[in-house]
Amino acid sequence: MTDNNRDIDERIRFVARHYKPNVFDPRKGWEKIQKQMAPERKRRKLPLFYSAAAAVALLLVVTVFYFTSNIERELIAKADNTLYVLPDSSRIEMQQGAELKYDKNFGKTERRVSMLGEISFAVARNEGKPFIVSTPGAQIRVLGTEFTALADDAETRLSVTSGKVLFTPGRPVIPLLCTAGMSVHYTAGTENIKVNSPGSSMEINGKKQSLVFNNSQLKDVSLVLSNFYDVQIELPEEESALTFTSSFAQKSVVEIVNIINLTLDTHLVIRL
Amino acid sequence: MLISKKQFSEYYHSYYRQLCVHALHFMSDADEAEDVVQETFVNLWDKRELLEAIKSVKAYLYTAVRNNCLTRIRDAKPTTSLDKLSGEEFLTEDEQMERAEMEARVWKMIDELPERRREIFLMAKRDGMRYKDIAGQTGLTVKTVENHVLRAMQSLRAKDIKAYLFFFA
Repeated sequence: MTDNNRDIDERIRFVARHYKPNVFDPRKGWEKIQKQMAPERKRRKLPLFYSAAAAVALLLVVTVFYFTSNIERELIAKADNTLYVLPDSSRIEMQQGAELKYDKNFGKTERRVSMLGEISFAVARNEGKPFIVSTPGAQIRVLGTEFTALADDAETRLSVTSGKVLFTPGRPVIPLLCTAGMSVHYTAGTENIKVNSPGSSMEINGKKQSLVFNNSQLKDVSLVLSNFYDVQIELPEEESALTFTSSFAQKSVVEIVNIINLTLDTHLVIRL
Repeated sequence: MLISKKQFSEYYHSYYRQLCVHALHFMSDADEAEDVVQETFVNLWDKRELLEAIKSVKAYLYTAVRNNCLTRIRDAKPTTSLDKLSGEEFLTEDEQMERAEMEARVWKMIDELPERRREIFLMAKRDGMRYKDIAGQTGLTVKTVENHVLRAMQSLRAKDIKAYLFFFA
């Protein structure tokens, strides 16, 4: 720590020696530089994610107040619609109070961040280096591009704008592949997972041992069942797109699979 | 695909202050440093079709600012020895970035100090005035002056130390 202190004091001395009020202000600089910047030739249509807050965000200064160190960096948004570019050129838009942390190894083999609050991500595509977001209760592994996550200690909400995201709640551990238009609301305390997709929804509760399927495709139902009950379920390919609506509380996986097979005349098989 | 003005603005706002401080290490004058950074960004905007090929925009900006500073120094006073810059060479690019980021934070924190405290802090640390002389000029007691300076130093240090707690905690 003493080395750091000495270094900080030296930095403070350097800055104090050259300090002038009202300079190095990005907001003022940006106003000034506008006149010297050649206008854009044509406006590219920006995806909804960008255009939504762009007008406001441009006026608001980027007030990300960030601390750096050798090991870890933490960003805290002081205002809504705060924009920031991560080292891999993924873009994030943070709402006031949102926090994001990443460490020095960000981007080496994978891109790992942890977060709190509400943050929208436009993740730069890089198949070789998965982008992983940890919230206090869950993990979001990004396979595609744009999504918004909202997290505090108790809850994590996710909504996917485009691409694919793998959402894994801490408990019950069920990896949920979420595609465009889907949203997940996970409450750690009650172990409740709500998944909304266009045209269907499901709700999983670990504490009450209950499952609700509403117009859900059998491939999703069997994925949930196999993870929830820790069994393997075989589902014939041609039956995977059939949809199923029902709710179960404290039923065994055998009962549930029987009910599905009886209702839909399907051939799900449990492998223990 | 050309970078949009909005994306460009994100780079600008993310790196502006730290690049100014980076330039300050070469130029020793805040207005000139700011000028170089503005010029660097205008150049980058004019050549923005290159941005796609640039792997790290941040590293590119740091290097461009440095080169533009050196060009200016050379053009202004062709006889200036570059010896005084030799200290720079001991720092790696990463270290220079880290240093600039830290200093940019300190700069902003000084901006945010209460006005009176900032004034006294700068008299002491920038102008090198003795507490006694500051007291004489401001009509405060020496003790109060000392207090202001210590408190200012504390708050500048404290916020920085917080950054390190993440890995000591």
